Amino acid sequence: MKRWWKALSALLLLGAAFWALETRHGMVPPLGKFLDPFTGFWRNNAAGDALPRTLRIPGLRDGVTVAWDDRHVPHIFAGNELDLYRAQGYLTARDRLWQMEFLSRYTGGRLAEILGPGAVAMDRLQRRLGMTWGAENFLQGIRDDARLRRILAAYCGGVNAYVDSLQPSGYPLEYKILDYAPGRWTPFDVALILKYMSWYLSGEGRDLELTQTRQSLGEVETDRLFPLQAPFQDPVIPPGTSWDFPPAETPISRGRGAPGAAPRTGSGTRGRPFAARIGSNNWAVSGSKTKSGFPILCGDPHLQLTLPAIWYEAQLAAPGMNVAGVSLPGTPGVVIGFNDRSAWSMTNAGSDVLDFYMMKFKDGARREYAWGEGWRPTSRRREKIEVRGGEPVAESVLYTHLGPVPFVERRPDMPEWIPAGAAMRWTGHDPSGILRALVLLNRARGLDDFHAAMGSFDCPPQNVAFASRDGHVAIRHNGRFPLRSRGQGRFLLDGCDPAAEWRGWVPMDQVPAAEDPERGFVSSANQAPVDASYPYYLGWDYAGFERGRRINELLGAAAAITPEDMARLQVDALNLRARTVLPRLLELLPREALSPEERKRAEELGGWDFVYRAGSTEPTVFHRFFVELYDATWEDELEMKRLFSWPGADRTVDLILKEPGASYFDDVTTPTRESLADIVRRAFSRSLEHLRSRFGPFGPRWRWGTAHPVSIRHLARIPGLGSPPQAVSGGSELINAASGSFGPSWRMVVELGPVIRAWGVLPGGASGNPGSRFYDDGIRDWREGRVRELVFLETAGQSHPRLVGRTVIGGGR
Amino acid sequence: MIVLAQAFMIVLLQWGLQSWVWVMGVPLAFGLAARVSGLRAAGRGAAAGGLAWLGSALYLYLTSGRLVAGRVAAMLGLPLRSGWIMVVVSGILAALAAGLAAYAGAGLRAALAGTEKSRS
Repeated sequence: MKRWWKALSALLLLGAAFWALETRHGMVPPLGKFLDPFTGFWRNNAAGDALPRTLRIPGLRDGVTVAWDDRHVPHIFAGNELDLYRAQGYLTARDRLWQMEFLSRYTGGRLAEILGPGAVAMDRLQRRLGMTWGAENFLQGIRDDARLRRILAAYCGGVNAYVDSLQPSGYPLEYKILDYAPGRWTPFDVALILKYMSWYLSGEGRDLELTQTRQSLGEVETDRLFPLQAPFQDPVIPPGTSWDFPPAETPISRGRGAPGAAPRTGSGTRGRPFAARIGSNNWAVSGSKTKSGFPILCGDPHLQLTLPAIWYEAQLAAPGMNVAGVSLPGTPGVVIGFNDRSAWSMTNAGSDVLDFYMMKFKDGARREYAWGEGWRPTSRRREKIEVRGGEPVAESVLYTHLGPVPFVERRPDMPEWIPAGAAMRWTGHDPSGILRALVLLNRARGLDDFHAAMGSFDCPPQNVAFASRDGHVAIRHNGRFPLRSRGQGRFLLDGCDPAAEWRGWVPMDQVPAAEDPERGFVSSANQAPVDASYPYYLGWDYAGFERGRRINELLGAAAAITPEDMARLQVDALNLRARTVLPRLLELLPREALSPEERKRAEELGGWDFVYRAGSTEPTVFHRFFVELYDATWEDELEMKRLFSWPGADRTVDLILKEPGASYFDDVTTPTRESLADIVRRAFSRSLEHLRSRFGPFGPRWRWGTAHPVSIRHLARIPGLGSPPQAVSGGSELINAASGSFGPSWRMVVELGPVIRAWGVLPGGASGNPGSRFYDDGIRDWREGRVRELVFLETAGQSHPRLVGRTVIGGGR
Repeated sequence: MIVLAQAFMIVLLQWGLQSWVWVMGVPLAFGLAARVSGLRAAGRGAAAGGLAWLGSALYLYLTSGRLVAGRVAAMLGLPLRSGWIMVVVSGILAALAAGLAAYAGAGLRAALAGTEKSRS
């Protein structure tokens, strides 16, 4: 009997050990499976970088040849368009399967399925924002476009061919860590990825904060602090451009928002506006300003940086098309890039395409809502969130004809900027031509093709810069913009008033655009698109003046420009805000009242050239000085609930320079009245105190790159799979807008001569495998501001010194 | 010799059947079959499992696995972030799992043998 007890105990222990090693515990992977050298993480090694000589993708008609360059970028040559997209799907999945599937899950609210109950709140938000509805509308919108449907089917077929070829040992590392298996890729997933980008770039608003501020300060003062035309702006479309079209009729303003009180939020405000955020630069210089006489186009989209790299670089060639650049993993085609005739790049437009309407429901059942003189029925969309290790969560989302009502009542897990009880009207929910636009853009041979492609480019709105080999440069502030009265939609709108509804669109041939302007270049940096002469209202909450004005200043003064000059300009680190305001701030600092250390730091700032070098300490001191001054100006107003949104840094600089007696410089929480000079003095002392407490006595730790390194984390924030902090000569309002976890996600320079030459760098690499040497091999060049010449082949068989291998892909069943 | 045979079988079955369970399954079977004490079986199993995984992990580490091993060590928060530690951790885990399986197998064999003895 004793032996049996002993045996049973050992067997029980063995069973428990097996369960423990077979199961994921929180974020600890199932260690038995994971550490197994035959199927676990060890298989995700650099051997995967080896290039196959042959591959088989079922469904190919003519066969495909892939030439690989020394950065592991595939140059795909196919005999027909559908083979090309099928091969692109396969090769993208081969390098980025987990990334694209994770993004689709995130957008579609399906993370809890793999992560468990902790992800339910995230999923709930995505479902309530109508992301799956938007993706369905997207597919509905291309129902009659046979070509697009075939392209999508081919791309998805390629992805699935790769998924089908995988054994568990070949799953990307993250699947093994999180312990799940890849699923099938469908056009719905493609649509979700496109919705992800649309939401990321156009999906937030300050309508609620601004409405609360208006209730507190009144409309005049709100408009003064949050002006429709921000100060110092040098707009995307050169001022003085004439608008040679009869504008469509815009609605007559019937007030600028919902009557009655706006719903209150918790603290009422989000982050300061000068914190790192998305943004981008692009410009195109005509041949009259370049040394070679050929146009040069440059672009660097700024996004939250992650590993695997946000973009997947590829060259795609088929009869009638030869395009290269970066694609969005999970979607067909190239988003930013060039072909054998033209080049293009995008920056976020920032125009307002999302409005909130305060709804009035008939009763607590919310089956009807007031609309005009009557009532309209609501509908409900049932959402079921599957939860790993838990019960499914059912969500019922209310819809009006305007769009979803994400939250009918305030709840703790909803973002503060979304008003409870409001319906959302967002162009991203509508059927979209974005994929059609990209397919056309990839084949654009000149300006006419560019404009034709842009006619379908609706959401997210972008400033698209373009240059062609025949010598043209152009830019369009492009998107599907609602026709609105001036300022309409920046406050919460009345959801009972049919007059507040969007009543048509700015015609696509009347969006702000410039072609071959006299100054010899076009550019954008998320700033205001136009001056006050443009006949339509598009939005107000654009990026500050700093990057746009700096780019225009440098390009305006430049002559005989070379691609090397352009690559240098992309990493320009002069802070125009500092150059604009710092001299005045230093004048206001009474030197005699400063301590010796304060005087020394002030003297250093006085001799500073406003350049944010990673090894300099002046940027760190100025940055903190401005943050303290900004907080001293506005924080008391926010605490006292007079303000509910942070005014722009540009407006703050404007007040300092032009309205030094403004009451906002007074700290309303003290009995005395402070002047601008008082709070400048206080802010300077506090900034040094803050830096001492954070980084110790003045020294190397105060250097900009050390004090404010850029982090490139893993997409799912898995420790160890990101990159170490990077010391970069950049900052959020500089052309080299690398700051916090944001920065240029791709830098590209293209010279459009008889032979197209291009240069680029990714803050990451081609591979999504953390065990590959191509996972993050671009980061060093990116940090140092170097670009490498991109390989661009004319034919599949062309030899090139930087090609390292070829793969022949055949079809078969 | 038995240790090497076990290790070889573990490698063969894991390679062919793409499942980690054989690092426990093979020692369990050897424990059931071999007429040795539980502790001795556990020692042999542990040596075999440890050898199979440590050897394989070491090979992969030296040929192509340095990067991924270093990242996984960082992910697991191990004090030494060199990928070397993952070779050792893999080997130790396999040794523990295989040793426990062999011990359980030997224990079961002993119980079965005791029952037969009492019947006879």
